[in-house]
Amino acid sequence: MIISKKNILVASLFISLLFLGGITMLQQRKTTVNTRVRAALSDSISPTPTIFIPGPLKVEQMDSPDGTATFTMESQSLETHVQYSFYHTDFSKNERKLLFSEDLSQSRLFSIPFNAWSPDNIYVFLNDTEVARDGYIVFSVTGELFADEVRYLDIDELFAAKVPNFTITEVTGWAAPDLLLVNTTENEKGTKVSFWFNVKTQSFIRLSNYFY
Amino acid sequence: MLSVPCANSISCEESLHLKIENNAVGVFNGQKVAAPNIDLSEDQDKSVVLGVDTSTEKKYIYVDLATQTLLAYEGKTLFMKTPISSGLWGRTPKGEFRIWTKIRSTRMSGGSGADYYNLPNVPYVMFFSNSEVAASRGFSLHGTYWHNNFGHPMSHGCVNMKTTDVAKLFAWADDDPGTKITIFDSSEIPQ
Repeated sequence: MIISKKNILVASLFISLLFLGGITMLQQRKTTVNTRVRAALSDSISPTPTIFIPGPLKVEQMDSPDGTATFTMESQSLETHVQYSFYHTDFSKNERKLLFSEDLSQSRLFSIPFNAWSPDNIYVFLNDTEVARDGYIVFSVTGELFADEVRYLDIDELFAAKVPNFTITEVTGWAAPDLLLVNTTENEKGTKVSFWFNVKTQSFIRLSNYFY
Repeated sequence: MLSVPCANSISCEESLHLKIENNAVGVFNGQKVAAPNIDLSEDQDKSVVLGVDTSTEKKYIYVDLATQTLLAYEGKTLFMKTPISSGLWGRTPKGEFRIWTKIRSTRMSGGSGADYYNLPNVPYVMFFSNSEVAASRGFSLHGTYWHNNFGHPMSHGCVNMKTTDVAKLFAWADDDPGTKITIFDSSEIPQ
C-alpha cells in the first residue's frame, strides 16, 4: 500500500490535534484540583498586619496676662494612650522650650482654662478631667520642680489629704501670684467655702468671703 | 445726682491723672505684687505700626455682671468678647455711661484691713461716667496685674480686664466723644 504525502500530512495534523487536546484537558484538571485545594483551606489564616494610625495633633494655647509669653499644649491620641506635651514660649527671647511630656489614659483629658497663668507668669494650672471627676494640676513654666522632685502638684489630691471635710467644686483662677482660688462645699452641710491654695507652701487657707 | 462712693476710696480723684511709677510694688489681698514697668515710647511705636483708626461705625461696649463678660461691637461686628471681674467688695454701677477720658497708667488705692489695696501702674484706664455717677467717682475699665481670676467678681467697683485684652480695647475705644458703655445684669432681665 502506498501512503501518499497528503495522507501523511492529514495524519500528522490529526495526531497533533489529539496531543494538544490532551494537554488542555490535563491543564484544566490541574486548575480544577488546585481550586478544590484552595477552597479546603481555613479562613482564619490571615497574615495581613493591623496598622494603627495616630490621631491628629491637637494644639491649645493661652497667652500670659501681659502678653509676653504663651503656654502651648499639644496632644495626640495613640493606640493605648494620649500623649501630652507642654511648651513655654518667651516672646522677648524668641525661645520655645519643652517643659515636659506626659502619657495619660484615654479616659483623662487636660484643658487650659482662661485664667491658667499666675499674674507673675511663673505658674500655670490646668483642668484635669476624668469620668465623674474634675481635677486640677499646677506647675512652673520655669522648669523648677516642687519638693520631692515633683514636676506638678495634683491639687485635689492634696486638698483631699489636708482638708478632709470639704470637696472642691472649682479652681477658678489666681487671687495673687502664688495663690489659687479654690471653691468648695462642706461635705456635711453643703456650705460654700473658698480657700486659697498657696502653691509655694502647698497649704490651704480658708477665706471668710466666698468668691462666687 | 445721687451720692456714689468713690471706686477707689483712698486715691479717689488722685487716680484720675496719669501717673507712672516704675520698679514699684503694690499690695492686694495682703499680698505684695510687683507692678509692671511702663515705657510710653513703646506705645507710640505700636501706634505708628497699627496706624490710625478710620472706622465710621459706631462703637458700643456691654458689660454683663451676671456672666462677668464684656462685649465690644463696632456696628454689628463683634470686636471683642472676654471675661472680666466686676465689684466684689464694692458694687459696679449699672446703667449707660460714656468714656470721658483714657489714661495709660495711674495708682489706685482703697479698702481697709484685709481688703486694703494700693496698686501703682494700673494700666490702660478708661474712666466712665453718667448723670448719676460723676466722673470724679473714678469708675473705670482697666488692666489687671495682681490677679487672674476673670469671670468672677474681684474688684472694689471697677471693671478689671486681662491686660492684653484691655490694651486692644484702649486703642479701639474713643474718649471724645466717648464710647458708650452699658453695664447690666442679664439675670434681672425677664425671660
